[in-house]
This record gives sequence, structure tokens and C-alpha cells, in this order.
Amino acid sequence: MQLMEITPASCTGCRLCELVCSLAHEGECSTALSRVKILRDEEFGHHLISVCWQCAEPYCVDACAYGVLSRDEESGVISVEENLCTGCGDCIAACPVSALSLNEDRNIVFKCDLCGGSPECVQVCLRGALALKEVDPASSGRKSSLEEASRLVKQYRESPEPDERRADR
Amino acid sequence: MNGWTGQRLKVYLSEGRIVPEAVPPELMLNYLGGRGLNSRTLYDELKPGVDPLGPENIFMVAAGPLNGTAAPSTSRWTVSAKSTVTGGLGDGNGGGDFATELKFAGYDQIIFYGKSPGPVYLWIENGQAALRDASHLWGKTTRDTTYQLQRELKDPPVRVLCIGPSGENRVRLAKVFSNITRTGGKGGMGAVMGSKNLKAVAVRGTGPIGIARPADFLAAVKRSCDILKNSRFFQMFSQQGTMYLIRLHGSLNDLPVRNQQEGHFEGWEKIAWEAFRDNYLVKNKGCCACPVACGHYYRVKEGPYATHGESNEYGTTYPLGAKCGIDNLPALLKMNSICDMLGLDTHSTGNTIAFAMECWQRGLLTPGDTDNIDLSWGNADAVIELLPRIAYRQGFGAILAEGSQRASRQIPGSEVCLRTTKGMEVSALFMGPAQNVVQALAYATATRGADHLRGGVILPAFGTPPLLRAMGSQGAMERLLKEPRSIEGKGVLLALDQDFASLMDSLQVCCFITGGLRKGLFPDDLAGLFSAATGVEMSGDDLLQIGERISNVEKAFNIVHAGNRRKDDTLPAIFFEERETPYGHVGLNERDFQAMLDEFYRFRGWDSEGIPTREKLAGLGLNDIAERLYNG
Repeated sequence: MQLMEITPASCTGCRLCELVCSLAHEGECSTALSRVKILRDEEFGHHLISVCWQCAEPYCVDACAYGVLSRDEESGVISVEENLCTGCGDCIAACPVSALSLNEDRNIVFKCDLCGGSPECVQVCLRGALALKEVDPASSGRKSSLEEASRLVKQYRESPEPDERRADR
Repeated sequence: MNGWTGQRLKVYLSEGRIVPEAVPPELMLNYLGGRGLNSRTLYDELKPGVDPLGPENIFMVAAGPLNGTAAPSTSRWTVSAKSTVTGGLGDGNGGGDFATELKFAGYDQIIFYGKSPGPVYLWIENGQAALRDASHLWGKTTRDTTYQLQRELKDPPVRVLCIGPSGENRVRLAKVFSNITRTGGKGGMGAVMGSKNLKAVAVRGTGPIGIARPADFLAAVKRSCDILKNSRFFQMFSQQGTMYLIRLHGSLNDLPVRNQQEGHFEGWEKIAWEAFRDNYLVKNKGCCACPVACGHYYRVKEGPYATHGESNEYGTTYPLGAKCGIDNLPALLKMNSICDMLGLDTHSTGNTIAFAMECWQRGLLTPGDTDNIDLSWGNADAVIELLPRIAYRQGFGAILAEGSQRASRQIPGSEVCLRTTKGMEVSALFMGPAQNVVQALAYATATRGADHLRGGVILPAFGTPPLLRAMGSQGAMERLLKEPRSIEGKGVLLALDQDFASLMDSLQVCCFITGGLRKGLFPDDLAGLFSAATGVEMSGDDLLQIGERISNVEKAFNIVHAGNRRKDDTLPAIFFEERETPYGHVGLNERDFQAMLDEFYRFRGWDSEGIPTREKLAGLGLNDIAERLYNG
């Protein structure tokens, strides 16, 4: 299936993806309401790209006690049933790559829905750091990439200051 | 109105008082934001005769209506004040994320008045603002200031605009920095901040920017990205950034070598893009919302010049490199890092050192004058030794800290080594055989003193409908480029170029995605983005007229505050010295220059002294300025 693949080494940290994402989904420009998040490293360029991997065995779906999140077997996309969401944040805490966020005004969770199959962010990422690719979400390669991404997110959470010894995130 | 936040802060530093207010809508509609908004405010609020480093000067930072939106390359901020170098308009335009975050926090502009009794920084978070003690930040580099503020505000995405030690010490070569290495503020904008005891502005915002017609705006954003993606210029620029210029000018013998005495630089390939890419490039860096990402992270792994940093621009390799005769790239990268940390402008600093090196060459400076630093051409270690001495005003560094024009007053006979217009150094111009004469006119007439970013160099207006209309035919327009040495039409091209630049700096769109040679967006493309975002309908011509209004307000500011007349719109004598060299005919005929200037004034609706006529000012809705210029 067609899913998002990220290449942090190609990311320049520009965040145009964030602004286009919120524009497409919310009709206004706001990095706080973006489904994709870039954490810039000003000094060494090891930017962190945080966006949903649409896991085959999603932690967020398992974590939700109310059945708000579900995965579409055909497209692979995990979506939010907004009417059911209580804004408790369990799914946000469960995600290994910090890909879910809370809309504080509406008290509901939001996340990447791949824009119905043609993500707007991919169209404006002229460096190809975000790309839509044919992937098997259950493959071992995808799983180990996710583990690596998860490790880097954890490292960032623990110590956000730039460190030249890090790899691209 | 969408796009703008419509709010600004007036910060009275002497009393520690902050007053929020709405930005008058007529200011937004007539001046957009950024540079235009600041320049008009400066004209309105500043009394003549004010000392640029005294408490009566005002210091401003402003965003524009497109900052924080998805319009490509809209990351820019503008800082403005009366210039410490020219005594006229001073401003600077930088990138990064600061302007975006300021908008998210709810403000378009901040105006600082007076002088704080002690060091302070302004902390803004989602519509709340407070002045805080900055004693612990005073003396810190741009990097340490940024990290310290992020640590104590416990929020790494907090964005910081700050000065380094050179700004604190009121060095006239000091700029303002955001994102550690993104910078703007020729004319000592960093020194103005320092004179007010203002170390930094830290901002955090999570609010949205409203968009009037979201679907149209998204379509316009994607169309803009397509235009960029398909331009050959973009493909080169998104890799090399401004470093592409070194090969261009190096191969044409048009580099400003050894303080512009020559155009041929034997070592140019050692400092060109390829050498940088193969040895020191880490990756490209983009400012907010910018698909071009012309910046570069770099690293020199080992040796005496080991360093890391960002933004090795032509603004480093021309003034500190070719102008000082230095072809040692790792040393130049080290200088770039040092300038960024100390808050120095690589342009003005390099130019001032090049001036000192020519004084040394002519025997006007000797080791006894320079603290025994050997200022021979190409001595990179001497420059590295000088930079902190300039930033901290130590010994000979204290003389150079004033910039070349003022330093020259302390070095008898050194006027001949000056390369200044209105007191500001002509950074990168050399009148070699391939050089387009429009660049000479651009440096001579720019509103903040000699300037490479206000028309002429990147030719933003080239190919636009207004230029085509003014020139009468496609062929006549193309001759402006095909015949670099012909003078006809160059004044027209430059006037439109300058107005386009005024427009970009006020929408806060980076000049590297606009106009010129169809390398990017034209005024109509910008109007599409602007109208869909704000809901205010304007055409490309409407926007260019705003650009023209801004150019005229700035000119009026320079007339009132610096007494500028025709004699000030000129170049140092060396550029008019015509001579034959092994690389062709060099120099610009002065009569040709004066003819260009006449055409430029005529097309602008200015009289022969360069003063805007009443009719021109009335046509731009500037009757109040006409009253002041003509009736006192």
C-alpha cells in the first residue's frame, strides 16, 4: 500500500509541510495544528520529522479504551472518529514517534490521514524528505526503521538541545 | 483582514512599559508590513538630528502579512532604525523562524523606544509580553544567548532574535541575529539594540494565521512551488545558494579583489561552491516555509580552522575573501562562524578590514598602528585575530569597530582607500568588462547606502509586465541584459527593481524566489498569494505601486534626516577610473553614469537633485510628505 516514508537526511527544516498541512485540514496556517511536525536543529541540521507511520500493529489503536482509532485494512490509514474522542491523550502517550496531537480548543486528537491518498505536504516537499511510497507496513524493514525513528524521538524528548554526535532524525 | 494579526507592541524601555495597540489599517493597506511598515513608522516618529546610538532613536522589528502562512519563502523579518552608518534609513532583512513565531504569538510589529536602565530581553508568549532582566545574558554569543533563553523558558521551539557582544559594544558593524546564524541589519542595527540595553526578543506562539480563501490559497501555493521547481535558477540556487556567484564572477574576472583594486582573483576556485561542497558541506538549511533552502550547514573537521556553522554566503567569501585577498576556504568558514557568534556583519566587517589592508599596502598603517598585526593581503590569521578585537573594541579593533568611513578619519590620507557610498561600504561591485552598469546605479542610489539587495544585482523586475511596458518591446527589454555596458533603459530597470525589492521586503517574501529572468515569482503571482491569504484584492501593479510608495518614503527620510541630494547618489572614484587590463576594459564612464542617474530620476518623477516632485508624491498619496519637503 501507499504510505509515507520519511528521509530526515534530506530535510532542510523549512516546515512548509506543517503550514500546508494545517491549511489543507483546518483552513488556516498553524504549525500547532499540523499533522506533520518538524523539530529544527539550528546548529547541526539533525531535524526531527514526526508523522504517523500508519503502523500495521498500531500502539495508538491498542491504547484507546473508547475505540476512537481504527485502521483501514485496505488503505492502511489509521483514522480518528472525532465524535467518540474524549481527549484523554492515551494514544498520544502510546505513539513511539509522537505523531498524534491534541487540538486543545476542540479537545480531540488529530493525526495524519494521508489526505485521502495524495498528501499535500509531499507535494510541496521539493527535497523529497517526505514521500509517498509503496510499502508493506508489516515488513521487517519497516518495523526496524520505526524502531530507529522511535529511538531518536525518545532521545530528543530527553535532551532537546542540539548535539553534533547525533544522526539525522 | 486575514494574514495580518493587526496588532503591535510599543515598548517604552526607559519606563519598562509595554503598550499593545492595533496597527492602523491604512498602514497595512498602504505599506503591507515588514520594511514598508517600519520605514513609514520611522519617517513619522523620528525627529531630525537624533543620535542613532542615543535613546531617541527607535528600533523596530516587523513581520508581514504572509509570514506564518504557507506562501513559499515567507520567513523574513525586518529590523529598522536610523542608521548608525549613513545617518539615514537603516534596516535589515533576515530569515529563520522568528517572524513566523511572532505572528503565531499575535503581533505584526514591535517598536522599542528609549533606553532600558539595565540589560533586558522582551519575552512574548501568545499575546502576553514582559520585559525581563538580561544581566546573565550580557556578554554571551548569539548561540549561547539562544540556548540559554530556550533553557530558562523551558521550551526549545522558542525563537530568539538577539545581538552578540559586538552589538552590546555598539560596534557599527553589528547586526541582529535569529536562529543563531540568520541575520539582518546593515548600518549597525545590532548596535542600536545594544545602545538600548536590549539583548534579545524571545517569542513563542501557537496561534493560527487566518486565511481568507483557503482552497484558492493552497492552489496558489502549489502553483508557486511548481514555478520554482521548473526554474533553472531554482535548481542551482537550491543547491549552491549565493555561492554560485563565485564561479560566475570569478570566471569573468569580476570579483571585488583586494578592496576592488582588481577584478581578477587567482584563487577563486579555492573558495567556490565545488570546493565547499566536496570538503565542508553537511547539508542544506531552509528558513521557514522555504523550499529553496539556500543555506548550508558546514563543518571543518580538524586543523587550525576547525569549526562548524551555517550560512557561508557570498556575503562571506566576497568581503572577507576576495576583498581581503584571502583564498583559504576553511579560514573563511572559521571567520564566518566567529562573526555569527560575536554578532558581526560579514559584509561590513570584511569591507572595513579590506580598507585597512589597502591602508597597509599604501604604508598608511604600520605595525605600530595595528597592535603588530600584519595586514598584508591574504593574511587570514590576521583577520581571525582582528574579529574579536573589533567586537570588543580592543586596541586597533576599536578604530575598525566604527566602520571604514569613520576609521578613515583617524588614518591620515586614507580617504583614497574608502569604497563607500553615503558612508556604507560598496561590498561586492567591480566594474569589469562583463559587469552590467545597472549594478553601479543600484549601489549608488539604494536607500540604506551602498547595497546589494535593492535592485540591480538580482534584477527582480526583469521580464515583468511593467518593465516590458516601459521598454516598449521584448527586444528592447532583452537588450538591458544582452548589452551590459549600454546605458539606455538601465535607470528604468533599476527603478522598477527597487520598487519590487521594497515590495518583497514588505510582504516578507525572500528575494531569492522572485522575478528576474523568470527564475521565480512575478508581482502577479505574489498578488494571487496575497489576495487569497488576506482577502484584500490587489493586482501585481497595485503591489508594485506600494513598493514605489515605500521607495519614496525612504528617499524622503534620507532627505530630511541625512540631507541626501544628487551628490550622495554616487560611487567612490575608483569605479569611474577607466583603464585597460589584461582582462579587458575596466571602470565606468562617469558621464554615462550621470546619464543613467538622470534617466532614473526622470522615470521616478524626481527632480535633478533626486527630490521627489509634488506631483509624484501626490500620485502616491504622500501629500503630507510633499508638505514637509516643500513647505518645511
